[in-house]
Amino acid sequence: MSDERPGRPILARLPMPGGRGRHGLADPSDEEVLTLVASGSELAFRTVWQRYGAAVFSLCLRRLSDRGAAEDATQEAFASVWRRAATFDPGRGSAAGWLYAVARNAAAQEARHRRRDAIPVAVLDEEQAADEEDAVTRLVVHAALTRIPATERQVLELAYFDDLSHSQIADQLSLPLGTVKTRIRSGLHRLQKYLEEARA
Amino acid sequence: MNLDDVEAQLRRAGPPENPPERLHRAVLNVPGGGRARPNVLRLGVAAALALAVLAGAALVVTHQSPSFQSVAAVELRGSGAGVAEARIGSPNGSNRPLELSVQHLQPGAEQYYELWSYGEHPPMMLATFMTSKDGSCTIMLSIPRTAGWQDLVITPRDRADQPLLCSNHGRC
Repeated sequence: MSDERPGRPILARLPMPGGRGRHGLADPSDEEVLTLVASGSELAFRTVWQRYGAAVFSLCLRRLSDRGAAEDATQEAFASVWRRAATFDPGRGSAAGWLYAVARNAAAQEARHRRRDAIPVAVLDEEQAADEEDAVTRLVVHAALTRIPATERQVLELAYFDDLSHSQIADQLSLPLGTVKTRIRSGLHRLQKYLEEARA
Repeated sequence: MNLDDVEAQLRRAGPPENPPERLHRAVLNVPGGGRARPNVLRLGVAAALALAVLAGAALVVTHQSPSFQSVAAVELRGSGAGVAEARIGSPNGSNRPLELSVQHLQPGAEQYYELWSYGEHPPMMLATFMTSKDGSCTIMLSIPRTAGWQDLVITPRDRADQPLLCSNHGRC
């Protein structure tokens, strides 16, 4: 449990029912992982948390605008994942879409619960009114980031979240400029693969 | 999707929020039955500690022998009344313990059975065991730490084509 926090990749060995996963044992797809969760695999559940924990928490926080409420909603969402993974049907949609629906419902439930208890929590409706596709994309991007090597994730975060130039990243990390560019390109290619997989 | 699209999605997504440690612990406790809400957890910690002290009780893990702390459990079911639970322990060197409890498996038969891991290719037999007259037994065994344990099947001895109890219910 020590290195399974969201955003920190774990190389969990996840045996696939009926055969090896598309990406080998160390990197099963989200759909394969959810299938394993449905069969009662705690290891698979931890992998879902590792991949989607920060993404779901971020989504709940955006919706509820309160960290305590977001924590409750996130825990409820993952309790639902554990209880209801068997209801995920790959033929009806992506794992990311299913997880998004679970998280959205948990956030909505938490909002209702908070309103009933008269605890002042600002429920943001703007995202609900906005295109849900953006929210799913955000979820998928955040989950995909957890699956790429930390060295590549670090430079991507500096480049695209902190808006640093390649040279600034090289200075900050004491890396050759070429290494930074290589890592960014490699990281983008990995992200591309995972984003396409999530949309498949 | 090209790399420009990936870059655009990255920028639009922005950085994720990191969940706090207590949420991390609470979520990973979900499979074990930990369902308390984090805020309730925070509020109830002091009360729970006080209760524990007053009761003078140690935490008791249901159905677990003192020497065996499971990290996961897999339930096996079939078409009949038989049911089994495999509890998996933490790796100890190259192996890990597995405790198998079987109930109501063909009462009266008193025959040999085999426990298989279908997570291995080809499937790997993990144990041969025998139930009592009421169809129950509990056995302890060691399995390779790298062996799959999520997809378990119990069959009669030498009848691998007749799965009786399965963790993947589609197999039975």
